[in-house]
Amino acid sequence: MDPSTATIPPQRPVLIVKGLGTWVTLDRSGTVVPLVEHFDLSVNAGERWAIVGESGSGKSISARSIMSLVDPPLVTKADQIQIDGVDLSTASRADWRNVRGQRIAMILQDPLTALSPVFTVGNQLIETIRRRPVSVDTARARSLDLLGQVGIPDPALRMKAYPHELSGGMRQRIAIALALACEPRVLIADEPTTALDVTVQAQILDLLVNLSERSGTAVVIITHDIGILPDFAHKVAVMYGGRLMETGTVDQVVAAPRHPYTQALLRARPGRSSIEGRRRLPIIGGAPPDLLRKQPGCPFAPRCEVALPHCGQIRPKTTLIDGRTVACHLVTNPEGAAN
Amino acid sequence: MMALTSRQTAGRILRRIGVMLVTLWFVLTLTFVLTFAIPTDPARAIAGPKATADQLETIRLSLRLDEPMAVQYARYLANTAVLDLGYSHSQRRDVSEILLERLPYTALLAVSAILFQLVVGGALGLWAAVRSGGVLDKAIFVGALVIVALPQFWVGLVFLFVFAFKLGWFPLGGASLPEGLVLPTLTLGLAGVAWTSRIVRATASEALASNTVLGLRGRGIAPRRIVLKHVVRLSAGPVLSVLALDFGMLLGGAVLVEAVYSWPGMGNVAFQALQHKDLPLIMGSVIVGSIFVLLINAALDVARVYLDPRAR
Repeated sequence: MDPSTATIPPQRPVLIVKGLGTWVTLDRSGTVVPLVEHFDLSVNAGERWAIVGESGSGKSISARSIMSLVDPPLVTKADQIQIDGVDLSTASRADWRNVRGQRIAMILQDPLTALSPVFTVGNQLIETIRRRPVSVDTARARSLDLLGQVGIPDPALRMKAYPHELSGGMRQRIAIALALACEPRVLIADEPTTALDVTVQAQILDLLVNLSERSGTAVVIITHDIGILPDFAHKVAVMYGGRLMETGTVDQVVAAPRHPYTQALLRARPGRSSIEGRRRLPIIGGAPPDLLRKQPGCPFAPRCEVALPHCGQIRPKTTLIDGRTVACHLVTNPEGAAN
Repeated sequence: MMALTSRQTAGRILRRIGVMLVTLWFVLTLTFVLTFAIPTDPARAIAGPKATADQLETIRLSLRLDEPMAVQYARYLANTAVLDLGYSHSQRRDVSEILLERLPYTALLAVSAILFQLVVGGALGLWAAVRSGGVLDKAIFVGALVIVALPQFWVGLVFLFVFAFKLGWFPLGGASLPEGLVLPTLTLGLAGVAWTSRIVRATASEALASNTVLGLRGRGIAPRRIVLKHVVRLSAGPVLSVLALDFGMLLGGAVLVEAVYSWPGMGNVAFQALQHKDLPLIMGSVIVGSIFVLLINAALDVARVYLDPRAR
């Protein structure tokens, strides 16, 4: 359970994303509004990543963009996307369809609506497994096996159940089983625990950890709950205003955050000491950025307590510093040199 | 699991039948009250304009119109309960006999029109939803708008003129099967096709934008399968509900369509009954039509529950 003592996974990247951007063009004015910019990520086999950030920071859009699952008016483009060794930079729709589910799969935030309400669990599992040329009987056997793997008691009975007959935790387990149906190498989980009870949250995270350790599947979890980082993830990427602020191992980032936004985010976490003291929670002043307003510099600059004069003007370069990346002028360019 | 026990199911069915009976009672009462409200003397309608006062009085007594209204009402309900709907003076036969003979024709026409609506309207709506915002979507929208605005009797006459009279593809009228069914079905179902396509487009668009479909795409399920299996099933429930609600309207349209095509159904009978002021036949048509609407509604309800397990 403790990633720091676990064996470090082999350094084989199964997901490489470089220069991913997603934007929307507004109907009336033709204004192009960037939602995600300069998104880079490299995930190794068996690695567990967490992308953290507040609502509207572009986490979910990034995840969907990685799988090319955005629809007009949203448009996404990347310099490079490579999944499980397959380069998808120039992939057609059909290429993407073959990759989705089989090499990379996604678990959606709301397990109630993610499953189809009008078909049984078994029907949906068998349908997904049968994307590969297998018989119905084989698919049924594999479905039962998958339900067992994700900790569903009495799989044969649940196969006949409809999603609304199951609890939230149970539905999320089934959503995970569906995502695993075709043995993907990368699993993206978009807020997989948000809609669940706290006790169930821990169980679902445990399940994801076990799955990644047993099968070497890389897991990228998207969350706004930084409390789960130490138990769950090896590495973390902090997002703000559609950009990555800081990435690195959880140990590094949580113990010694370099980016002022990460520092503020960690301070704003309700600590255990607050129970005795009943002190006010520290908050991050100001509001998340208005994406409609063009911001040449760092998106966090208007709320940053230690911002330099040029922070709002020049976009900080993402720089590699002792094994992690930081996009902040304080760290890399305190003089305000144009880049 | 948690499948409905047979007791729960039985309870639901009993409740449903109870609601139907109450609705039917409302219809019967309303029909009864309306016969007193319309400015027609039943005796005069039977005897004709030249009848003497004595003759009219004799008819009134034979129809027991001199009895108190409550007694007439009770007898009316009792007779209706055993399907005795009275005697049609214009056709000189029992009303129930006439209607039982004509009902299958109307049922055939109505079911055929509903299927036409569902299949053609459903396909167009799905197509428009998939091509949402495109030229095809807009063309279907404009087409639907135009069709809904066309009066049914006029469409009937135009079809009759073009396809039956000029081109001779179909008979001018009558109940020859199957070719005689084509034009009445097209006429009766045309408006329904238009608005079914709109409803299907709306529900299918919602389904296409749903998390469920996002999940399916994320698993790499083929788009054709997503639309034809999942979107169809997700949109079926609401569409059937609306169809059930509008079945009464469809039956109302059947009166005119049957008259235009001399289709020997109940609508045609009702049309003739109106012209002859044949009260028992009019009332009988209304009652049988209502029972028909109630039964179709129940059937569509069953279909809806079957298609959407959440409604169980």
